[in-house]
Amino acid sequence: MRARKRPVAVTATAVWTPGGVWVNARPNAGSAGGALAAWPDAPPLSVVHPKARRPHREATVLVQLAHVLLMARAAADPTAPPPNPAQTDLLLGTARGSAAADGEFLRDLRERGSGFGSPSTFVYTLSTAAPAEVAIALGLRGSLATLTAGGISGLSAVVRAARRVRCGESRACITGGVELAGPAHHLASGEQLREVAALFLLESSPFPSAWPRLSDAELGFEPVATVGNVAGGDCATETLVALAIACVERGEPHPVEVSAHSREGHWARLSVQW
Amino acid sequence: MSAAITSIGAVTGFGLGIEVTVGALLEGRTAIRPVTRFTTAGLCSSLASEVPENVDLLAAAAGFNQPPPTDRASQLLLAALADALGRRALEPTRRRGVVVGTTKGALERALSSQERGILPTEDVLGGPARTLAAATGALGPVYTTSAACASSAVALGEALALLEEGCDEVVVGGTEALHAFVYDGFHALKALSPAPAAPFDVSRNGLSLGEGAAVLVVESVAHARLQGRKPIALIEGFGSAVDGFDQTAPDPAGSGLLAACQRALAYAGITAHDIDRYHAHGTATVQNDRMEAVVHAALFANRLVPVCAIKGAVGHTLGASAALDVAVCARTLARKLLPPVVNLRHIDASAFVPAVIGAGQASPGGLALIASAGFGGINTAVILRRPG
Repeated sequence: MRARKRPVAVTATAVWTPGGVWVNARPNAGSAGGALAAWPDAPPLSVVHPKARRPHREATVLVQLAHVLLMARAAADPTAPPPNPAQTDLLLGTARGSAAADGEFLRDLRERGSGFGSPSTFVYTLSTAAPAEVAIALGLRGSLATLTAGGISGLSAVVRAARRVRCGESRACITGGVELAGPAHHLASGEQLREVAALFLLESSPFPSAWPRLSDAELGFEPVATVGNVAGGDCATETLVALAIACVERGEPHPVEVSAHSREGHWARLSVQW
Repeated sequence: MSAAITSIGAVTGFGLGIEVTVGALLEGRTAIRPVTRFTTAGLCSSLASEVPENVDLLAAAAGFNQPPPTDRASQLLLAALADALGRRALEPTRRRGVVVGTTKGALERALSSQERGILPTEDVLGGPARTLAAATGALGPVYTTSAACASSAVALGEALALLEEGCDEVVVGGTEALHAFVYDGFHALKALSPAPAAPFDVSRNGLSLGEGAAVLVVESVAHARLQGRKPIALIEGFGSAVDGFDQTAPDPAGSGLLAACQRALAYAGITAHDIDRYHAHGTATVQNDRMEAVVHAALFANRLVPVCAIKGAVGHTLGASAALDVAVCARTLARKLLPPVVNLRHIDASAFVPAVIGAGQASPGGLALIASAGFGGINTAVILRRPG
């Protein structure tokens, strides 16, 4: 029941780091150990998601960023109809998952007692709660999941999303990665978590020359014992920023490979070509 | 493209072994009992389906020559793997993948770090998948899917995709350990029943949590044939859709689950008319069961397709639940039996489904649809066929 292989285009990017917010523009990873930069021009949640009820910070970040992603897509080429929300999937990578909500709910239980946790916080202890808020806000009705593969979870999600679009299983997919801190910012290794939210809109492109295309996407695993000491520490931000740069800068005519290997043993690679 | 399930293993509140669980289900027994691993004082329930203390998870997993995992979700998963593989040995290869569905993974590691005001260096959701990869020599794609209570159904959908892309086999897992943190959360949501969960029963008033794991080795049909392995069941289709209605309540009209079922049927190239049994998500919450009854009536045009559901027996195992549903369905499909909805005595007229009540029943039909529905409005459907 599968359609022929289709070209996969990145039709919009939106990246939020400690350095700022970039929509269809070259991002800056910002300082190590930083929280997301302030975004004074962020679309108000009351406008983009009026039905929101006590959304967690991660949900607010994703709803705002996904909103500007789709707006950028609609504005980029008015002649190409934007994707139908009813057929748009969400697949986000995350290594930290719901760490922020976990920390808050745990603090609730410690301070108030085990019978008095906040139900609205508990809802966000699922890694899919924040992307689900995006689906509710923007009317998405495709599939929805998060993917975890160590420090390259975001890049891995893009690899899997690209495969779905290429095979015709998905007409459009919002993918990328999100890593936010909560009450705790330091990793056990001593590093500070650098927050990032990076979204990419993938579509089966009817106009392949207008946007960069993804190809040669692949995932693999080597147990850490055989990998040795993998450099790079928490590499989520670096890989997502590198992918965004490859997608927004018309560079050489040959494909640009974006690849990464996580300290947990996961590896991912894909090529971006204009 | 069909895929062959050639090995199945499970550990649940009934103990270690998929046949232990299936046998208990067919007898209509429940493993939902008073919680022993943490206090439930002051909470709205004191019940859950815990893996019995006499099941030595580490001993069950000792044959894999790996350091024993320190988190319970990984221990459950390795025990289920041991049950699935039996004496079958696996050589390392890049043509084998691992996909695991879970909602909280190695949660105790996350909480232990949070207590000290830090974050774990490694991701905790992905720990069980890496444990499974190390034990099976998987050098292909290894990752974890989370989709609330449909997490391991999404893992199965990913396995189908990986087989289409060239993997020979994918080891699919679903695992969830019972932790006080999660129990407290469901208490906060007022979702726990003080009595054992009774899906679709007129007296139902909530769910019972459970813990467990299931492992399914899924191969391309050609690879299974080449290796001389006979499929237990064939995966014919997968579909997923979000309803966008609410974080915790499903769309009462069942729009998301209906769409997921229709996508799975389209994938399989069949219609709802071909389906012989429906394995419900069946949480025993008022909202879920009513929604599934609406979907059943709409999907099957009021045809009385028999309904099975296992959460009255093994509790709601969250991220593991879909893999356990598929495991039980595959085994009972092979035996031409329908497991009953344990604890169901009088069907709620407002959530009417033609449920199997009492004990297992004979059923010659060979096509099954397995539904899952989770928080965030996530819905999935998997279609299984008994090999001809």
